[in-house]
Amino acid sequence: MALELQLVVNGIVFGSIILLASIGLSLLYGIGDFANFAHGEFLTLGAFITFAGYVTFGLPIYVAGLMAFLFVGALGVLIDRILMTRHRDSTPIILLILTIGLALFLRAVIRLQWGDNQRTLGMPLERGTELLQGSVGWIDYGIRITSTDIAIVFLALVLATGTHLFLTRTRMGIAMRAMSDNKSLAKVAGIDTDTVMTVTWALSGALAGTGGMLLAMQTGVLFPRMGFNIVLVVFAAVILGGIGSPYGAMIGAYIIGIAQEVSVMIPGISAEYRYAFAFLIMIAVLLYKPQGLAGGRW
Amino acid sequence: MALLEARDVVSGYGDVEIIHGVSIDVASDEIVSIIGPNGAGKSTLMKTLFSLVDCWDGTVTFRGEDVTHDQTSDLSRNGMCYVPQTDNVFPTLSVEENLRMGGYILGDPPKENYERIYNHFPILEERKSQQAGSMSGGQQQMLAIGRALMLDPELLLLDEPSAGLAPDLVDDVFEKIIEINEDDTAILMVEQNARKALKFSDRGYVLEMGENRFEDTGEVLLNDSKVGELYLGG
Amino acid sequence: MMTDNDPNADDSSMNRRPILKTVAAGGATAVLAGCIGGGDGGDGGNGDGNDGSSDGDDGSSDSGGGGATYDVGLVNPYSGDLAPFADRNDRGSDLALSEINNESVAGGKINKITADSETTSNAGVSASQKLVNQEGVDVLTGPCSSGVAVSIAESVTIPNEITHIMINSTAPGITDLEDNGYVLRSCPSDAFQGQALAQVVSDNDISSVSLIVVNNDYGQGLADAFQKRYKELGNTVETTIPAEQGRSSYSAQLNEADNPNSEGIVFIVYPQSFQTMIREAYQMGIQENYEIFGAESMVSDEVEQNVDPVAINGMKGTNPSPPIESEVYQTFAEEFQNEYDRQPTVWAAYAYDAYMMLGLAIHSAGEYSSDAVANAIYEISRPEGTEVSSIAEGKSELDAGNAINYQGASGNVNLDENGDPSGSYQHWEVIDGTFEMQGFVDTGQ
Ligand SMILES: Nc1ncnc2c1ncn2[C@@H]1O[C@H](COP(=O)(O)OP(=O)(O)OP(=O)(O)O)[C@@H](O)[C@H]1O
Ligand SMILES: [Mg+2]
Repeated sequence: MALELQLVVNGIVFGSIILLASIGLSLLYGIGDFANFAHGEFLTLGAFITFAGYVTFGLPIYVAGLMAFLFVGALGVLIDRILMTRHRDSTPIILLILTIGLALFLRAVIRLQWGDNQRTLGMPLERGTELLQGSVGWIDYGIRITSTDIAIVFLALVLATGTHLFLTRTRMGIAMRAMSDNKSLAKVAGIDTDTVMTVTWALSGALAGTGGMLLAMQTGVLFPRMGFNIVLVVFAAVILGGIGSPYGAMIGAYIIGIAQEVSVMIPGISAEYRYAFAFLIMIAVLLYKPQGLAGGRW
Repeated sequence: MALLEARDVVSGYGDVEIIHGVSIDVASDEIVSIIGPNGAGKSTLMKTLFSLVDCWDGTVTFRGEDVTHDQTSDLSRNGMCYVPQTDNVFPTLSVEENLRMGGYILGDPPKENYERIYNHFPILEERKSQQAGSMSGGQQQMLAIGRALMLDPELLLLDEPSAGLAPDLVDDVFEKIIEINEDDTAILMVEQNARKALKFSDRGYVLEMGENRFEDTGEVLLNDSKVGELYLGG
Repeated sequence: MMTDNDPNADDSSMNRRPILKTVAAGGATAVLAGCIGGGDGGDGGNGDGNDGSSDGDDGSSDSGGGGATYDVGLVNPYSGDLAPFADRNDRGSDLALSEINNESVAGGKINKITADSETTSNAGVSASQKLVNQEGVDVLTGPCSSGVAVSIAESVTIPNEITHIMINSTAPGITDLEDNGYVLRSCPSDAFQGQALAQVVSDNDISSVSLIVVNNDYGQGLADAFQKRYKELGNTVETTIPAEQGRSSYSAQLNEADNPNSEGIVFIVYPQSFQTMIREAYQMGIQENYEIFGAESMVSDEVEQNVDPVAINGMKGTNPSPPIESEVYQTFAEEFQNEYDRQPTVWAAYAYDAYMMLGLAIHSAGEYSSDAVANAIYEISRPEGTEVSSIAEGKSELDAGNAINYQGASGNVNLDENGDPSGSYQHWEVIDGTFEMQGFVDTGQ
């Protein structure tokens, strides 16, 4: 058995794809105290908006991605203003059912608009560049990378950094963290918690929309369940990182991404079980650190 | 006319009435203390004044205006700020970020606001990058008061500012409160350290079972044998 | 805003309503005694029709009397992974139905009622339950995916003693279902294709391969048959890697297949997953180092249209193929071309044959019921009888008291005791991004 560095690289790429969705999911949980089960559909929608921009309107891919960012962000605002604002004080079970219903509704809209069949983004195919070739000892450091891989990692990191700056430098970002810390004190301090919640939806949607674009760039194909199919992995990353902590989610996304790729090197673990392996990692960490890696802090 | 006038205030939680018609005045240069046994409804009264708990009956006027049903954020904007009894800082935010949130409704608060706080509490300036949750209880209490002072209020509501502090720290906190009061901020505070509080206070109220029991200057209450026996631990 | 501006969909008339009825000959309104050869019954082409619940359960088995209507169910994947296959089934069956209902069998007409399997077992089973319990069909046809077909057989058709004619389900395991003769199919088992594919890979002098296999009954069955034959031919399968449908990445599977001992990689997966896989394979440089092979499942417009030719050029594989030289097939292809303005696929031929056999079986039995069809359908397809290939021919031989042997568009469709026809296969190669047939495979058996 050799450690193939290529698998680590693949894991970083996959981790980058789930990174943005993980941050958004964690923000919503931390600030609004509910798990958004429609997050997978946000990804799907981001992918299809990218498709609409890139294929239907023939725009450059990154313009299409910007559309996904804006559109799904705006959708987040709509959802909050129309639906969630009435449920600020609803019980967790109601919020759970609400977001599940929202997920089914969004998926139905996607199916109506784009149909059930698989769509192809049709970005030019590119053979990966061989960066390194060879091995030392039990490490095989042969690595091939495509420019799409690099773009995915780069974009994800840029947005994650942007989110970090937003959360630490701006008044609204700090207010989001304050609200996540102590909602009633936030109200006492005069923070407009309703607006903060709306902004959180917008940010969470925009990040997931961009995550959907990255997902579409990576797989090249789109279908209505594409986001749903990976949302459990996103949840695993968020819980591993410590639910409610966007920084924990960032770490969780990469750990889960790399772990599930590298797992195939373990004899007896077939590629088919790598998602299961991701959950195994999550459970193992939770046994040791029940609150996740971030341990209840940001 | 007093700065704050509460008249026959009735409030509670759900169907349970806790405050049964309490009246309180605070003049613009005063320190006023509310004392009373546990569960008397002191915190509930403070929350009612700050609109965190609905006022069922009676009126609250502030600077001559009826604010009985004003939003919390409007009260802050108009010069009334409140420090809760517990959980009164944002633990994962830095000291400076906590202060910034105190001034949230100003947009981004000007430098002078921070400086004023740092003048009262130099320790906060030293620790401005530290996470609030990692500070000692006394420092957190200073920060909680500092956060509420960011808006330079005319009236500060303090719910047990000395709770859980070591005796010498209690004195520190009261000193700071006097200092703040001398800076033209009226203080209405709930206190368990009743003797010390009354010593510093211009006036005091004794609350029991959600009703006014006694009301007088701090000195009179301190020397009143009945109050002393019942509420000041003999 | 909900317009369907789908550049990839291969048929804009595809209908996604969950249950819709195609009443090929005017349905209930045409139930008039002896209206043989009445108004041309050929409107069945476009999968549209009476919607819903109007004519429920009349005449499902009033034998012999003129103008009966025989309700037959078709569970078809109008949505989901195998959606590209749904239209082929509709076209093939509708072509047969227009001939059957033009002639009428046992004095009646077949009324096809369709339902969406969504390419999943859950949806497929509930669609079938509706057809059997609510619509009261005696014979069920479809669906596509073998896994879904087996679920339907085990939980709906076998327990209800409904004759179940599978059209596209090629999993070898279906042969061994405990079905009391109620389950049969018009397409050959993949056991035969697995052998053909092994032959093709071996003939290309590739003596060791990695297999990437969709992990369902179809994939497993085909892979097993491949493996057995491939080993008999003196070669080795290095690894067999299961792959779930609908995953966003298959890099781990490809990495596992990227095995220095292998000379080739064989994909036994569906078009959707294949598109993602082959793209990643190209990025990883797999095509540079391995010969690529594929099963019939990826021979689709979808792959041709959406996969960059550089990623699949030179790929080889097998495809079930009708005897295209035969007169029966050519007649079928011509009618198909006239009706739909395109060449049929073998899948359409299987659907056509399924309904033709059904029509002849009804006429032979003289009545429409599940048991009658299940018995008669073997009799009309066996080698002993006079060879016929149209309803008119079949009827006149049957009416004269002679046994018949239906010769189908897809082959001779001689059903064996398990209800399986034998198949014939072509091998193909991708040239300039399209699947080009290269002639029939001689499996030496
Ligand atoms: N959120 C709440 N919901 C329902 N009842 C409450 C709530 N908060 C307080 N109470 C009840 O109201 C009564 C008064 O409580 P309050 O906290 O106002 O008393 P207090 O005088 O501040 O006591 P302490 O000295 O312990 O702080 C108590 O009986 C308490 O149980
Ligand atoms: Mg209290």
